[in-house]
Amino acid sequence: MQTNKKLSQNSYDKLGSFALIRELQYSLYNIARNAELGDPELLKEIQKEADIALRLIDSYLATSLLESGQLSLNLTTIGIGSILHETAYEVRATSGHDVLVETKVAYPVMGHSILVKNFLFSIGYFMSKACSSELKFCSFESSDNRLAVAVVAKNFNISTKDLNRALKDGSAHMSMPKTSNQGAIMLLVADAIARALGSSLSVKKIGRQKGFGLYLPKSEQLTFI
Amino acid sequence: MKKILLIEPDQKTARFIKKTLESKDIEVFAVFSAQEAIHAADEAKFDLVILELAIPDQNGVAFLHEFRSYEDWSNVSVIIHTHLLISDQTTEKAWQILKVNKFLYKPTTTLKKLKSTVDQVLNS
Repeated sequence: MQTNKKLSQNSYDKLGSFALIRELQYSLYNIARNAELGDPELLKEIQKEADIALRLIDSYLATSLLESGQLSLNLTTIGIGSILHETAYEVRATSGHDVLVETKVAYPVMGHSILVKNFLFSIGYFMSKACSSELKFCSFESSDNRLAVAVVAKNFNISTKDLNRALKDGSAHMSMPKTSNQGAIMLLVADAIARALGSSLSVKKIGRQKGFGLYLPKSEQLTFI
Repeated sequence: MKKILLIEPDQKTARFIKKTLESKDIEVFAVFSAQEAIHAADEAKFDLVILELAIPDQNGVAFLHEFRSYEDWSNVSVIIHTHLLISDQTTEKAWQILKVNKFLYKPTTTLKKLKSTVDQVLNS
């Protein structure tokens, strides 16, 4: 039983490594070919591609260090509203996608600002590739004293059951229409970040909008605000 | 004027390949999925298809099988330009059957190489 569990974790790790390498292969390919073309108009594209690759490496490295125990994480009180706004701005700038922010509920939660930002960026970037409609970065209260933080979109026309199944085997990117293989690593990284934050990546549904998110526990500091 | 159908799911990649190949004698139509490709091939006559095998809505090889099954498209030149690693033995036979003119492994193919291969296939 233990062997199976280990094998399964190994397979998952390998899947993550392959997806990371593939994503970086794409990024470096685009950077190299754009540089070959030498068109000054494409310089911005090269910069975006390099920024995404750096961010990806940063997230992957951080979660790998946390998982291997080489880095420990202290969760602190963070304000989710500003994080949602900042990350939405970054996703909008990087992907050119329309992004809205809805923070009806945004009380302080226990988390880690860089990791939560990286989580939202990974989901946002992935969703920008999978959906043509505008994205919504949002937070809402869950029934068990936690805050749900999510990125959702209208035309994510895949059933919640299929999304959950795809999340489990790390193949959510394969199920999305108009999505190339790129972006797969974003979901895997988001999953690893969610685990590092003591949560898990899950499918979120708000009315007709669907996407991915995680839960964060309320901060004790809430009582002083 | 030669017409090329570029089937490339990554929009950035499609943009710079189009920029590289287009000239006063060559027009490039970029599509991002198999469905769009079939639709485009129905609308216009192409001299060459450049195909990324990793397309989102269909297996690229299955797409090529389907594409070749239509009489009008059975002799259109095809260049596979993909990042997928496929065994040489399998591909050698498959490409012969599917009448693939050239196979280019994307990560090691410069735009210069792609351009020269396209020119070579179009002028053969």
